[in-house]
Amino acid sequence: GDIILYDGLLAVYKHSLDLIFYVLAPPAENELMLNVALTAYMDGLSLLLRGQVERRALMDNLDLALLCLDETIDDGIIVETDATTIASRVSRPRADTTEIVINEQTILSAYQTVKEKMAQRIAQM
Amino acid sequence: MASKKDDDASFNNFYNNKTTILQEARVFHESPISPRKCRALLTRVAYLFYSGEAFQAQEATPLFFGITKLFSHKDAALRQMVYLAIKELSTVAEDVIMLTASIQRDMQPNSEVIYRPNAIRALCRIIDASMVQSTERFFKAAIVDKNTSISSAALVSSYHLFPVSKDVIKRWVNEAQEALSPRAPSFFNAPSTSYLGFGSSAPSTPSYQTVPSSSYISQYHALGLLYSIRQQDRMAVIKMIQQLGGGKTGGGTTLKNPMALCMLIRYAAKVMDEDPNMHKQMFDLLEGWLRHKSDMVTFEAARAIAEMRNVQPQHLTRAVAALQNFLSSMKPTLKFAAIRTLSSLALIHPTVVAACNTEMENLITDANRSIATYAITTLLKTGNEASVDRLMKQISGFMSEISDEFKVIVVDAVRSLCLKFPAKQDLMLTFLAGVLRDEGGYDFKRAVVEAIFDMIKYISACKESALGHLCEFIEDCEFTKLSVRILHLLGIEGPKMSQPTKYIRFIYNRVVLENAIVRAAAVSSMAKFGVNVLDATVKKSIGVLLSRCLDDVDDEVRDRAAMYLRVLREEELQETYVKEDSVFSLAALEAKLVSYVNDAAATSEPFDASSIPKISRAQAAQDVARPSSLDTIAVAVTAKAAPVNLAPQLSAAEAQSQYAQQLAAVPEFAAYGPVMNSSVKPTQLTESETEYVVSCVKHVFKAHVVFQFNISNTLPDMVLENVDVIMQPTDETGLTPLGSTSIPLLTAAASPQIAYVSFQRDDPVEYPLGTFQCTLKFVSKEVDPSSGEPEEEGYPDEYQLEEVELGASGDYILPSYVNFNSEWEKMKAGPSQTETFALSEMESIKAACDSLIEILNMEALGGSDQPTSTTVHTLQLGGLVAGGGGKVLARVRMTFAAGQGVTLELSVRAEQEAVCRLVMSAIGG
Repeated sequence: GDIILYDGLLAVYKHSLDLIFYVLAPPAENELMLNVALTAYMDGLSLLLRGQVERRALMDNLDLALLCLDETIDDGIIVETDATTIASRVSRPRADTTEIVINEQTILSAYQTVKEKMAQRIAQM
Repeated sequence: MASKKDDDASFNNFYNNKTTILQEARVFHESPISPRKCRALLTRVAYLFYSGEAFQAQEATPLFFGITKLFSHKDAALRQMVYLAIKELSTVAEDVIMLTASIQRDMQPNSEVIYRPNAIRALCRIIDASMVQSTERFFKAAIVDKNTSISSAALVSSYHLFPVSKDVIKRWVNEAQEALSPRAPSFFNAPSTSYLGFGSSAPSTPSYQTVPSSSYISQYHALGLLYSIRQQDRMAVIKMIQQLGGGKTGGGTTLKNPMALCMLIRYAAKVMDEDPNMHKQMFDLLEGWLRHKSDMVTFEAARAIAEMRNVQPQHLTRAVAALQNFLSSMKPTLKFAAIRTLSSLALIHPTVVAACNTEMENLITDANRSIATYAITTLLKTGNEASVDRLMKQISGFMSEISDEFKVIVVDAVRSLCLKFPAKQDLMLTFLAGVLRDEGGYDFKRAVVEAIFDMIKYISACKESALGHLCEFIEDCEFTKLSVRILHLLGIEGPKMSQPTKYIRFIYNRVVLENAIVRAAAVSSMAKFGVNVLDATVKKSIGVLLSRCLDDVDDEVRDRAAMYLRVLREEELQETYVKEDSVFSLAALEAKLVSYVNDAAATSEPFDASSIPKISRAQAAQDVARPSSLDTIAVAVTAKAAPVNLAPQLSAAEAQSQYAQQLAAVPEFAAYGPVMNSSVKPTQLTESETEYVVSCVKHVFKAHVVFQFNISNTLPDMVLENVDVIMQPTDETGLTPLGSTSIPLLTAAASPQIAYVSFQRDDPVEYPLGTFQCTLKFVSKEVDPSSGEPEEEGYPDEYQLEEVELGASGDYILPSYVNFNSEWEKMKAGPSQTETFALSEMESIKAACDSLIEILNMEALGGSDQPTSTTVHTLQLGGLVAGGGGKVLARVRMTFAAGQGVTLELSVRAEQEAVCRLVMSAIGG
């Protein structure tokens, strides 16, 4: 199920691997409007997390998830429904200019990128 | 699974620890600032807020001002998170207004930073009404900014601020209007991949590339703000709807955002509801929107039409067709929205909704159980007798797949279906008996058993087989409560059936196999067979079975068996203990018991149950009739449409206990002993819209009568002092005035207040009757409108009230249920009186019955309040005299002849002579 009337509230929800996202609203709201907001948020989040919308990735990038939510809904008002706009408005943290941290994560992501690029090149050939 | 839980716990410990975070907040004061570290900490602060952690002001304020330090760093990624934290902290921290200047710097009209919208949305959280004025310039510029994110942020902030500072924001109407016009995404930078690519983390790229929105959502925000500004001015709202509505077809609208159109539909529906003159025009607009290409708009329009007040079937056709279309959609949200709307519409116009029956039947098996449940409950409202068979088959098919909670809803739906189509009872009963055998919890089984109970009660044709199914069920029932209820029902219904003996076997099996509670219920049930079945052999065998129970290990079972054996031997006991079909009125019993328990002096004597009025079992059953869960579901949907009128109707018992409290506040009345009777409803002594509104309640004590006057002053510019009620009996009443209490000061704000007048009954055995002239006496003073203080000088005044009557009805006699024939015979020996009256004014027997019942305030027994003949009738009445006066019965034989009116012979039998006189005088006087 993706929608239910629960305890006097309208709840629209979606699963993504090991996560469930809910949008709650008063029962008189337009169900489709809530669905649009939920979809916008999840698509935006998916862009930010590069399609890996699951618990570990969400917790590691909680800043992105929270900012993404803030760009979608502000104090009960839907701010934006275009997922690309939402995702593009979320800034990513940068390494501090003074210290460039090289750890397992950054090396891993460098390796991932190289692997992707290589795969693309090979595919093009 | 376990490792996942541990994971969760460690994560929450790390993020949720407020103390750690407050300590780590030193990172904000470090130099140079590390944007990465700060952003990580701010994320954790925001997370704490989102997970419901409560911050104290003294914790949040230093944190808030620590964060303000971060404004000195230009990093955009940090600044965006700073704004998120500010939004949350602003609700708890103090002096947040200090930050206004810093935030305004980020709002500069030509700043191209990514966080400008974030700054705008945070600003509305920290400023107060006095500051709005000074931000006007920024807001006006932002609202019309070509970047829609900035425009939207400014509009949303203005919308949040509107309640705070209406006057300033009303001046932004032109800017909002401009934002409403559609703006094509004006600058489309080559689709930026910066947020996807690896390159963005290079420290040298300072600015972000944002993708302009293609959703036109700022129209939605602009419309919301415009409506807030204009909602008091209906003409402006109508004009706005007409301009934006885009003509009859809706094609000419400039609104491209579907959510904006939904809002417009809501405004149109509201106008339509409030202004009948606009009904036609707005309705045409709504119908036009039904053809919109966005489902969201179509649905909003269809729902607006379905929820119109007093909607007529011919108006609904197109809306229902649109909803019907949605029912076959693949999207659960759309199906849910449509079926929910149809479900509440089916309450008013089932025939219109019936057009969707085929689609709804397909939804019964929907994976989303909410949709399936709505489908079933709606079908049961719209279905006709012919479709029931198919429907039942489908329901049986999926009963095993759903949870108990849904099963209960389905069983309730079937239950109301049985009552709607009694001809289908066979099918329904088979279904219910089938599910009764299924696995299930108590709530589910109870729902099924209650459904069968209802069938037994309302559909006599199915009694025999329904009882059979219940008998089978108790053979293997794990719920004691249900077994006891079924045994009780078998005891009542079983003896009336053609073969009572076959039930006795099932019942006796319980005595052998079950726990003590069920065994006791089985004993009582068997005794009912012994008394009510006429066959002497049955009586004998019941006697044998009961005597076996005398050896039971449980004392309750033994006691019951012993008692019923005696009852079986002695005819007259049967009347009282088995055949008795009246019960105490529980509300009255409760009220009396509460006052008995609260009154310390009363406990010296045993509780007197004889003064509690009785009601028949049928009446008692009506009082507890439970609402079907179908109705409750429907209410949940429509609750917002109809503002529920919750004006509490005080029940008689509640009123009594309220009076008792009021009387207890006057110390003089304590000596009068307990109240024997108070009138159920106050009598109005004035019109309801006069300057002074007065109502009277009469309280009868053992030797006293107290009149309670509830007095309201409805004039706010007057105060009344020393308010008294003067009562003057019109003739000899048998009452001696004792005294009265007056109201020292009565203002409109503190109304109503109570004044009492009390009398002594000269002869406590007699029931004094009489009429009193009442006058309100007071000193009235005008209130000075400027100071609100009453003036020094007042003048005495009087105000004539209507007469108060102390009569038999309501003051002494209460209706009570008894078995008339047997009681009438029993009271033959007691005091009785018979008199004949001619009521020449009465126009029919029925009218005479009604007025007698009203005058005497007694219960009509055996359905005798509905005369079957127009010329001859006998009315049987039963009542209870307040304060231990005992039972009173009246038999009224009436004849009617045109021209002569009704002639009646009234016979009264009571336990006291005075009561007979009371009843006679009520008619004669």
